[in-house]
Amino acid sequence: MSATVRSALGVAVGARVPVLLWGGAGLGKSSAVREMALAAGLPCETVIASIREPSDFAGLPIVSPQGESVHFAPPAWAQRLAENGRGVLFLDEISTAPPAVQAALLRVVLERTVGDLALPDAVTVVAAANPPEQAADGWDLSPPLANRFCHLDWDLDAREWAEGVLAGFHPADVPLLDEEQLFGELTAARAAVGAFVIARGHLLHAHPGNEATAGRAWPSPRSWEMAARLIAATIVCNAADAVRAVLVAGAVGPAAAAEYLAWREDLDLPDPEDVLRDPTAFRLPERGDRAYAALAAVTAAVLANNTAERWEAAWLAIAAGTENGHADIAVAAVRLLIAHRPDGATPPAKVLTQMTPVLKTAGLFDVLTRGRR
Amino acid sequence: MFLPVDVDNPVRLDLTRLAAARLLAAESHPFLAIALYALTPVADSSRPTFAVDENWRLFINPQQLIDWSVQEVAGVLLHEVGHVIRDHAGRARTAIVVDESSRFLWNLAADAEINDDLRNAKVVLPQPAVFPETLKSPVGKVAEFYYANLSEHGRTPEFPIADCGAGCHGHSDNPDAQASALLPIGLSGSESLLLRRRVAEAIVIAAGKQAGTLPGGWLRWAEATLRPKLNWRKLLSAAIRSAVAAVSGASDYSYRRPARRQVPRVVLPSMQRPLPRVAVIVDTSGSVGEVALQRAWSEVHGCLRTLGVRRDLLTVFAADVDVRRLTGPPRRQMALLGGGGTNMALAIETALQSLARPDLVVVITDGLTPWPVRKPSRPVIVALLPSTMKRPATPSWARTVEIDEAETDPGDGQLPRQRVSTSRRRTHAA
Repeated sequence: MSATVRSALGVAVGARVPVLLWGGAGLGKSSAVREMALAAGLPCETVIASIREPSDFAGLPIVSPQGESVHFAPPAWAQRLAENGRGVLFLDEISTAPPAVQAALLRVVLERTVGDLALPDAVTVVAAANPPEQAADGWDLSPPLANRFCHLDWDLDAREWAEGVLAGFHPADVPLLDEEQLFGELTAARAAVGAFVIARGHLLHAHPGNEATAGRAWPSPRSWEMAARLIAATIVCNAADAVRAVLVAGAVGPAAAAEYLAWREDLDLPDPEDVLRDPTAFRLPERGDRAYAALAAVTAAVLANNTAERWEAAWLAIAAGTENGHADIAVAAVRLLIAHRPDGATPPAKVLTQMTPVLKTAGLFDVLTRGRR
Repeated sequence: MFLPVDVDNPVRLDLTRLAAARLLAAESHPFLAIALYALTPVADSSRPTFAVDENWRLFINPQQLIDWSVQEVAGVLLHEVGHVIRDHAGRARTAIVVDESSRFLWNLAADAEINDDLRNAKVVLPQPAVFPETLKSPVGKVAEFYYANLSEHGRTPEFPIADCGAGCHGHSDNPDAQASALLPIGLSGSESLLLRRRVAEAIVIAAGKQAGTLPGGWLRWAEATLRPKLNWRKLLSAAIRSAVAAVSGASDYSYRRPARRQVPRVVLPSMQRPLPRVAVIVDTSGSVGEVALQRAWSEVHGCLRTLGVRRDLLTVFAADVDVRRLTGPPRRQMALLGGGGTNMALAIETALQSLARPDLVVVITDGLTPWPVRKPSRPVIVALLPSTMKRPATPSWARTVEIDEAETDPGDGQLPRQRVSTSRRRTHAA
């Protein structure tokens, strides 16, 4: 499990999306971030947020010698990052920072601006925090700040730790993302996320109702944009789909992420109207449950607009499936079709013959006509 | 879709028989149909019977498929798919199932959880099958409960070795690299996560259509999957933390005193942390259960203490027929059983009028009380204890956290539990 989170951290840093690692003290969050930066050749500036003041992030106000204007001077760590042109800004102990410091961090995290100094685009913000119930002096993260991060739960598997202690830990791998390719995938990912949000309007902006979850990931226009960027990055660097699931959940929260991923998976099913137009070209999906869902969609499309022609086309599509040993998967679809047979339509005998041995072995001869009234 | 692979001994599976059994299983449990079809069957003569792994690959002993009746095979399919749907492998890791004997115990516990529901649905299972009674445990519980019962008593039940595979206990037995390369891939972790969610949705829909016919274990699982219950300790402490932060103005920067860090010609703020006064009102009437009350009190007290609310800033009131200020930890008044009820309206009024002048009021009650009609002048948090009786709704101006009867969330409660014990010790010494 933590191998997935580790690669998710790398992908997010590569995509330059702010990441927040949640985990108890002593789990090695800080060292993991530093080692990752070292391995990727990125300079890493560690700033402990809890012992800083708001002026360390908003800039120290300096009155100009003539006294007519105020300049907000950035601290040395910000100047070093600006000079390097790239790197990782690591904000440690962010949940124990007082609310005024958290408010000052908003601009740093999202706009990479410290005082009057804009940090280069190639600087990624990584933060670490202890869950408030585990830190005696902890504050819940303020919801606006929480919404600017991709939240990852840093957990350590006992077996993995034992292996790491013997053979050395692998630092998270920061993929080098081709900017042009990322931009192309980003357009596609934004289109997908946009289509999903149109389908589920309530998930565009859903501020959580209680204090315990408001300090974590929740869906908002900003976090959906972040999710689209992360999805694009996982496609460019060809990451495992578990990594993508962790990243989307980290951006918009687990509930919204699960709905999005299920919706996305359904998009890969064949369009039932296409199938009915040309049933011979129909290839049943390999996975049994996907095949079942595809046949159910085709049957539902026929029942919505039932003509003899469409009804017979659905049978042809089913025939393509039953040949591959899907005979039992098609039973539910066949039963519905028989119950709603339009006048003058005849089912192909082939499908029924293919199904007979299975029905006979199961002792379910009447199963196909059971739905008829 | 079928990829019957067996490296040492290529035997073909009787696919018609398997499809027939799958059909029987899907007909009796329509809400599990997608899960049954998502299993990838693999012929494996080295397994004594059937087994399943975390990638939803179903390992089938071809001979056993023929020896069992089709009805029995259908029962076994429902059983094995139950392991992967209910994520027994993931839960085994949380329950720290490590060595071979504990794997065996976990396998029995998980089997009992599934078979209990299958028996209620009148599914035929090959004998001998494990049921809660086999493990001398009550029916209707979860695998964690049966497992804890088994490990606690340290007795291994007289039962033939059961091994439902890695999908049940999370431990794949000596993966032979050459053999596993030939295996079909099966489902990935996030694919199975999505599938589980879909099954849970199907169960909730089925339960709405045919109320009462669905075995209870399935519905409980589905509701827990779709709406994970948040730990009340987390909710209560978050509510108290944010209320304390709000009323005290947080530990924040203020210009009341200039900062020690001096910059010429600039006035910087310094850190101020005013601490609020908190009143805790404990319902000590007869209807309140002692154990639940102590748990809630320990949590509230521990949370306030970690926030730095010192003893002199904390006042505790006991409310039953009258309201008294307490000096020690609250106890339920045994003598008042069946006596007069609580009047929380009076208690909150008394607390706000007291000399201590609280900035925040925390109420621990079972809710069998009238509430103030008007919104009090200070924020109120209600820790609502479980009650079987019908009670008025808590007012909307109060932040209410419901406290569960049972200790849920086995992997999560460690730290709060420690906190409870220390605060209890402290209060007894006081």
